[in-house]
Order: sequence, then C-alpha cells, then structure tokens
Amino acid sequence: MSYITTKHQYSIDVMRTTDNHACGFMAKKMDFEGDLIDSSGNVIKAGAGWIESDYNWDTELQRVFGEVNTDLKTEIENHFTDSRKAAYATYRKGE
Amino acid sequence: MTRAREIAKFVNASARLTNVPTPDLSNLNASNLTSGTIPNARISSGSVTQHVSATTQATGTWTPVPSAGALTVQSSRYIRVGRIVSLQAWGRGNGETYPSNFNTNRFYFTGAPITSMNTGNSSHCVGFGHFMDRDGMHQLWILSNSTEIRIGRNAQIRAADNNHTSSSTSSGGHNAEFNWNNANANSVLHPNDTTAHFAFHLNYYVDN
Repeated sequence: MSYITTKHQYSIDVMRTTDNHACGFMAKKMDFEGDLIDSSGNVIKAGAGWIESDYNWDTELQRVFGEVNTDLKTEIENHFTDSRKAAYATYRKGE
Repeated sequence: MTRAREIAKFVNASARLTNVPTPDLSNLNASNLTSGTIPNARISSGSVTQHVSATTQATGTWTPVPSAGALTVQSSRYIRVGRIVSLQAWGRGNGETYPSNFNTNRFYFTGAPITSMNTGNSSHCVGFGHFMDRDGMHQLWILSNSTEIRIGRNAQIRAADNNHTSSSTSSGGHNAEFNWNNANANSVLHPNDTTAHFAFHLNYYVDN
C-alpha cells in the first residue's frame, strides 16, 4: 500500500492512498506528570514534569494503520532526526 | 446613389433593419455596462475560476489514540475543506486493566490526521470541540503546530497550554481539574459495556 506524507516542523502527516485513512505523528512522546498534593495543598510527591520518550514506530503504525510499511517507517525515522526531536522537546517545554 | 437608396440597403421587406455591419466593440469601456445581467452562457468557467483560490479537500478516517490505555473505535471520520478540519469519532473503552495506568499524568489523544495551524506560538489554541461520555460533556482543544488533542473539564479553566491536572487519582472526567489525568480517563477507558461509549467532535484550523 502506498502513503502520502506531508512533513512539518515537528510532525508528519500520513495518509494511506487506498482509503484516505490518516494520522499525524509528533516527533516525540511528551507526557507530563504533575505534583501529588494532599488535601491541605502540600506537595507529598514532586512530579517529574515533562517525561520524554521516543515513539516505537512499529507499534504506532500497527496501531493506526494495522500494518507496518517499511518505506513509511524509514521516511518517518529520517524526518524525525535527533536534532528535530530535541527542538520539539524544547518547543513543548516552552508551553 | 441617393441617400434614400443607401438607407434602403439596410431595410428588408418587413421594414426591419438588416445587413447592418457588426459594430466594433473593441474600444467599449466596461464601465458603460451599468445595468442588466450578462447571461451565464456568455461567461466561460475559466472567467470565474481564475478568481478563486484552489481549495484543498480531503475526506477519510482517522484513529484517535489515547496517551494511556486503548479505545475501541466504532466509527471515525475527518473532512478537510480548505484550512478547516472537522474530526468526529464514536467508540468505547476496551476494558483496559487498571490501575496500571491509574496515575495523575496528563491524559491526551494523539492522531489528529493533519497538523494544526502553526501560529508561531506553542500556547495558542487553534481548535475546540467536545467529548461526550458517561461522566458528562468535556472539552477538547488542540494547540498550534500539533497533532495532539487535549481533553479537560470546564472547571478551573486555565491557559490553553497549562499542564495542570488533579493530584487525585479519582476516576471520572468530572473529577478533573482542567486537564484530565490518566485516572480521570479510567471511567471511559476501563469499561467496555454498551453504556460506556463516547462521542468525539473537534474542529480546528490548519495551514495550506
């Protein structure tokens, strides 16, 4: 199956041409853990804040498209260079 | 030839003008057209479309992916018309095991099919919508230059990019403090019965 991609600063949009199923992927997974606070408002466990992790593209492509197209996976990996992922993390932390 | 004979050349037997030379309108000033309507048949399609910008249109399906747990999507669709995208989905939880994801991390969706408009400011909201679930109606929004979709409760509304979540691990979106946390999502993602469906709708802006 073939896919059309549109590359952005921190993301890539992917559309499968056979059925127009589409998904946009960000460069990096950016979770956020806040502080744990008791009923009095005291911090009983400081949150980690931003938690960065790389996406597993096999998992993501399988979950969204039900298949892993090796050419598409390579294109995504090539777009999300280490410098792009780092820039994205900086961008998100500036929110 | 007399003047009467010259005139007679342009008048037929029915006393109507005929053989009148085609007038030269090459120097006609269009501003002189001050009334009436030009018939559609006299206007080529190119004369109209040359003034209209090309509009990107796309239609298809998409997969909303929760940041923790998983969903069973019953139906989903997106439509793009120009620089506006409309997403909808209907589904339910798939019996995710908790409390493995039962924490206070900010919950969100990934998978918006087209990256949102880049305003140049990561805190800008460029789309808004609603998420209807067993706990009520909740808000969806998307920030600039992103495919991540945030979800929260209409209580303690903060800045669009604020990451605040409740420090409580209480289940249910109605227990959220602005952003949902993973525990708040439990009541949507954990059950898989017929009354645990959700409805999702988000409209947002994109770049060309």
